[in-house]
Amino acid sequence: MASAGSGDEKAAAAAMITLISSDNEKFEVTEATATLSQTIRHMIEDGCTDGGVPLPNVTSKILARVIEYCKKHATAAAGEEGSSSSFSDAAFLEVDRAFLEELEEFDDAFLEVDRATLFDLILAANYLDIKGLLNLTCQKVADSVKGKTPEQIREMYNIVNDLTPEEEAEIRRETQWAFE
Amino acid sequence: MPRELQRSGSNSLASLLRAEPPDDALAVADSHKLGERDGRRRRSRRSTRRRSCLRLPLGGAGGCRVCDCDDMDSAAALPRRRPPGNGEDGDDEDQDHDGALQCFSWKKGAAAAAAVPHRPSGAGADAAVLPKEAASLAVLPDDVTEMVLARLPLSSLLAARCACRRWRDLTAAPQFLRLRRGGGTPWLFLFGAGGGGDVGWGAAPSPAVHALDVDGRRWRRVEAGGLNGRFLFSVAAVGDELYVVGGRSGGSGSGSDAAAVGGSKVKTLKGVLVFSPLTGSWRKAAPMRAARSRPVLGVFEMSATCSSVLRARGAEESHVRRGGGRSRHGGAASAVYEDPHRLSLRRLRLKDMLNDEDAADPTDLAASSRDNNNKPAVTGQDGGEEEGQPRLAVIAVGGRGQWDEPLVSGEIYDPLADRWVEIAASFPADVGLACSGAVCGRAFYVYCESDTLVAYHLDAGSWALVQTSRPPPPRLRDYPPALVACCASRLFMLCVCWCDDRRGSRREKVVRKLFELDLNSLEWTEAAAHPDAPMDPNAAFAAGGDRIYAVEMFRIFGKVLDFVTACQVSDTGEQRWSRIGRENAATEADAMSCRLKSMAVLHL
Repeated sequence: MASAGSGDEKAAAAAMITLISSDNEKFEVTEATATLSQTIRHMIEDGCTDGGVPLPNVTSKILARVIEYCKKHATAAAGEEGSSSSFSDAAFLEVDRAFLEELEEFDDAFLEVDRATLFDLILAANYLDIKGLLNLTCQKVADSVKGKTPEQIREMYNIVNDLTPEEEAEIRRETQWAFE
Repeated sequence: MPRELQRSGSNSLASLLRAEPPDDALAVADSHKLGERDGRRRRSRRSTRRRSCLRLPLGGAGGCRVCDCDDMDSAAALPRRRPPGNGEDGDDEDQDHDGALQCFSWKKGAAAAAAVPHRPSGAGADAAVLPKEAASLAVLPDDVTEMVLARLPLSSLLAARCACRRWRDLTAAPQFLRLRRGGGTPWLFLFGAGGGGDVGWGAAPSPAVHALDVDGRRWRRVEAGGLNGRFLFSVAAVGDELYVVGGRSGGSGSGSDAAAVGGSKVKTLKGVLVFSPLTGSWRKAAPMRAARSRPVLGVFEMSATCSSVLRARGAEESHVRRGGGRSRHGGAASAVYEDPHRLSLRRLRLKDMLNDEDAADPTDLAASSRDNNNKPAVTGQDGGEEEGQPRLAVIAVGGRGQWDEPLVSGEIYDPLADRWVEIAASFPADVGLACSGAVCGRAFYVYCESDTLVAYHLDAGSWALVQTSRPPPPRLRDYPPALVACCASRLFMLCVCWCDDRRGSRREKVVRKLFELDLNSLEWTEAAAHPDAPMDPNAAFAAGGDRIYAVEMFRIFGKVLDFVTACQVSDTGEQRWSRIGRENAATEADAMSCRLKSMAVLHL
């Protein structure tokens, strides 16, 4: 994580950052782990992490999982900074192969969660601005939507169809060529 | 519990936004009733906790991400930046509560700010419903939903569009399409005429469009109602849209557009139709200046010089139309009618090259002072250019006109101005009919019937003969050559030649070959030979990304056979053709005429 200008604060804050979940559970993480989150990274740069970082939008259960992810990826993410928000997890492809495979396995296992948890992870990743995790989780959801009919999608994700029959017929007429 | 932490969760923005304080705020503010307050606090915190993970994002839909990446980044971080102990001692519980809710709703504006604080009152009921709601994709804010949907392949995306109103609106929005751009997979759009009849031989062919999802390897039939009995048109892929340019309509029994066609007479068309596969809609673009069937098309990125040339030309042409020239000039200007104007047009272009564009108006034509209508349109056009998107334009050259006469004129379409402008420079003489063209680098190359290659320099606005160092390979006349450009800078030509290898069996004597033109040495070199025997003289070719696609479709023993192949263009020399699976192609595309194909590749 070579970002200019944050050197001093990094040295001062060094070591550990305390993250506090919405239910007031505290998590001690290394700075390398915490800075995977752009949100926290900015806070560290601004030097306002003394006394812990409250994360009122993240429960301890989810935060624990997010930290698990960040710990695993912290070492791999060295080159990730500044890369574009590519659609895949391509940002991590620069690191060595074996480790990458292990990481992929970890990611796969990491995503073996129920949907509610998955959505919470997405929201947490979005709030904390962790690109890798956001990409990973969004892709997981996208994969599950892939190849489904509108009805299946609605049922799967509990989506209420608020289109009028006419509107739906029109959309179908326009788009049916691609998914019939 | 460390109080300052709680307090540091407070939010000055939140307190600003707090249109209606939560119902326990008053009790909390009352700093005397400590015991009661503590109990209360605990209770309300529990509800906060629950909501904070499940409920909040719903209320603040879209807020958080926007906060993070926009200039509002500080909105999320601000709560912690604020030094603790800001004098609102009694208020911390309330703020903790509020901050959690409202830092999300910041971007949503007053509506959300007003709506969210109402939630706490119904907390109990909400909590009961939550587990079920949580599994709904609706909990995700718009921007995250967009990120999810943008990862879908086109077919799934269009299915998702039917799911609900919110998704429909999200996926049809321009910024979503922009987000998705570049992540698409190739789709071949094959335009042709159904019915299989030869043109003029009786039943008019009815247009048919089929799309091949190259990755999904499935043919699908596209609603082609917009084509209205057209045939012999040309197709170009422009951004994520398809332009159907010119063509003919009519023929006996067409009836589909009888009024325009005028009975059974075949008519050459100027019209341009645009199909957007992403929205599934057809629209009309400005018609060409000349009616053309089978014009040679190219798509290029507009540069500054190029657009100023166009603008000057557009201004000139509107002058010409305004002057008495209208009757003579007409719309259907073939080269013959264009001639008298050419000198003046050329003069204008020269001026333009000297960056004298604005001066050209007053000096060149007295009528310009009256021509004020043109000016506002031009400035509006400039504004649109600032968007930073590559601005694509279409160039159409040649084709056949109203009386089947070969045309040598060309014109350029600027989608932003929705206007065709004729190319002033004259097409090189004695090169024959333009067969096929492709934009490569900053030039539009056209391969002509006489096996000559000509190029229109897009920035300079001039035609030039390309003198290849070796004569182009001899080809069989029955198979028209096709020019395609790959990877933006490599120019290829497909034609059918006699096989060099005499040892081959008789059947393999004729082979379809791919030649590449080295743009430096201007030498044709053979890049690859197509594995299939060339059965279809009207095979369709199109390039997309680094691949050249070929579709051969022909009728044999009353049965339609089709072969889709792709050639991956690599830097390492050898180009190889590979077959693309064609599951259910013959069943879905069997009505396609063998004679009237045209094809374009879109990345969707």
